[in-house]
Amino acid sequence: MLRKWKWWWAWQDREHEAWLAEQSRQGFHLRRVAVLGVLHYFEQGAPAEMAYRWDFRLRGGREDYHQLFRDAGWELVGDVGGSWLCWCKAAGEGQQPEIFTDRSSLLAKYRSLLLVLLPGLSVAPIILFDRGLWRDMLAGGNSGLAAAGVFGLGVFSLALTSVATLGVWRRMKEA
Amino acid sequence: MDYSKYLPLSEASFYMMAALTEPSHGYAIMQKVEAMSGGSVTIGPGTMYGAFSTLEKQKLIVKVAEEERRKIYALTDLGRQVLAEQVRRLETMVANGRKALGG
Repeated sequence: MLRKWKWWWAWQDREHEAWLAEQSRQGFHLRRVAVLGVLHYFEQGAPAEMAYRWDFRLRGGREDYHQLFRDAGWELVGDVGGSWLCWCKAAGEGQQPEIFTDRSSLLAKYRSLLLVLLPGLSVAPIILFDRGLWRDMLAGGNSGLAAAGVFGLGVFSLALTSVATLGVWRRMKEA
Repeated sequence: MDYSKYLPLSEASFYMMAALTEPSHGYAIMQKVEAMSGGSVTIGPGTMYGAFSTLEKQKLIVKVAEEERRKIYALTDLGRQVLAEQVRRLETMVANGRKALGG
C-alpha cells in the first residue's frame, strides 16, 4: 500500500475526484482514506480509467443505499466520518459514469452539506457577541486569557464555516 | 383532481414511474429505463435513491417487499394517475410543438 497525503476541502470534491482518477491512470488505485480523507492508501496495479465520485450522506446511508450502488457497479473505496463516501467505477471509453445524473439530485447533495455547516455558522456569532466574554477579555488576567481563547476559537470557526459555505454555494451555482 | 403539485415530473422520475408499473427494485429499474429509452436515459444510483425517497413521500410509489437489502417498489393508484396526467400534458406539448415548427 502506498500512502499519499493530499489536503482537500469539501467544496473541492470534483477536483479531488479528478486527482484520484489521475492516480488510477498511473496505476495507483484508492483502497481507503484516513485522517479526515487527506491520507490516501493506494494499491499499485495496472493503469486504468476509473471514475471516482464523492457522495455526502449523514450516517453513511442505509443498507439499501449501499446495495443500489453496488448493483449499479460502484465500489465503496473510502469514507470520511461515515458521511463522505467515495464510490469508484470503471470508466468506459469516452463516457464518465455518474452517481448523480440530474441537476436537482446533485444540488440535493450540496444542500445536505450546507445543513451540516449551518450550526457552525450560527453558533460562532453567539460566542462572538457574548458581552460577558468581551468584558472578561478586556479585564485581562486569567479569565481574560480564557475569554480571548474562546473568542479566537469563535473567530476561527466563523471564518472556516463562512469559507466552507461560500465554497459549497459556488459549487451549487456551477451545477 | 389537481395533479399540478406533482408535475412536471423530472425525466428520472418519469421513467422510474413508467418502469414501476411492474414492481421492481432499483437495479432492475435502471436496466428497464435504459432499454425503454434506447440507451439515451441513464439514472445514476445517487439520483435514483433520492427519487425513491421523494416519490415514496409523495405516495406516488410504495415499498411492497424487501429482498436481500433491495427494496421493491410499485406504482400506487395516485402514481398511475399522475403519470397519466403527465403523458396527457406531454402529448399536448408535442402536438403544439409540431404545429409551431410546421412539421
